[in-house]
Amino acid sequence: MMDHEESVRAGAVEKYLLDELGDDDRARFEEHFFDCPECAEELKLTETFLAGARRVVAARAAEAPRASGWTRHFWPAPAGALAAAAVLIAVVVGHDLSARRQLAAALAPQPATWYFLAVSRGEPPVIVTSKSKRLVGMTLGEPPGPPLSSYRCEVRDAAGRVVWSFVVPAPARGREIEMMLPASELRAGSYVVALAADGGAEVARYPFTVREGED
Amino acid sequence: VEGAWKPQQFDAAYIERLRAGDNATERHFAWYFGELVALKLRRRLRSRELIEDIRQETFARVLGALRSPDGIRDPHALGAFVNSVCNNVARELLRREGRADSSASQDTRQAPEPGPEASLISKETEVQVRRVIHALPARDQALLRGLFLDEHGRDEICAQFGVDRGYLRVLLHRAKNQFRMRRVKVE
Repeated sequence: MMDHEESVRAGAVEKYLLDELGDDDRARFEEHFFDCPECAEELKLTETFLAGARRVVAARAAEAPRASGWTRHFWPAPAGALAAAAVLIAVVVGHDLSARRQLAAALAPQPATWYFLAVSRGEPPVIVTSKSKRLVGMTLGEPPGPPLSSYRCEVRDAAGRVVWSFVVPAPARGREIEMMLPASELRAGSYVVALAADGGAEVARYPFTVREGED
Repeated sequence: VEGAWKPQQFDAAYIERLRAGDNATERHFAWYFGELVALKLRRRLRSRELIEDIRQETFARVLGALRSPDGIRDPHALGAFVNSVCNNVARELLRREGRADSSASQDTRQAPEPGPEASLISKETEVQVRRVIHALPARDQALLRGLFLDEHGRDEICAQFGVDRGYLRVLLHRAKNQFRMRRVKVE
């Protein structure tokens, strides 16, 4: 049986509730918490929090259904894009207090123009940025080849420098990859979004051009 | 899920009262271990009816064994005994229900919809949890959303956010402590 010290040291409460214990450790921890009032209390509290968090998150998701038509240009963005944007914005603004205020502002409802990027040798789409539009939304056409579970996504400028690099999960069947980029970081010029198997070969390129427009 | 949960130590007098059929002690026993048995079973099962059946049968057998001439007398063995009986009952009932995996370890805990415990949360607790979540950094909020809503696995969610599973546990631990502090204030 696991003792209390081992349980605390291993973070067994969180591991148990996140289903991260193997069968043996789970059985040992169950034996322990039936006999340990402290762990029993901790488990109850953590499970209550998790159950509440699931409900809160689900309620917020239900209140903000996926937008369509012109309304998709406004927050809330699609879930995948929101997550990607949160990561990108977090990288850009850092973690100090003033940056958090910027982050909060960036996550507030705001207009954003959406563009479709295709794997094409034709004229790349022109993305017009302005001070009033802090975010640019992008939908990537279906990459060629068999679908992967996730893609390494790199945004490169004309000189080939990597502006951003991040991992995006593969979209559900029949859906495209969507993401949002902070427009203020995009200077006028040519860019390319390159998709690759995470840690592997490039599978698609989506060129686009940025032009700075008037408000 | 909710209730005035306090740490509990059991002694010989408690066992004797249970053996004697003292109503208040029986109610306490059913409440204390009922919470633990349900928590354990919710990790593996989604059917509330099945969880309740296992819980009831476990209590019946434990109380029966306590009152038998050779039943347990050591109060320190009570918890382990309840857990062991619960395991046996679960195995038997699941086998009877025709489940191939009688340990139930392959049940649908990873399903993204709220588990059977979610409906037992009070409005007040939901408000406290919401405040805790809103006080988290934006990235952690997004991480929680991904954790509970995204159809992808946790490893993919972690990769997407550039964190590992250890970070998820620390996030949960920190948020849980904030939640505890809010509850203490309310109480």
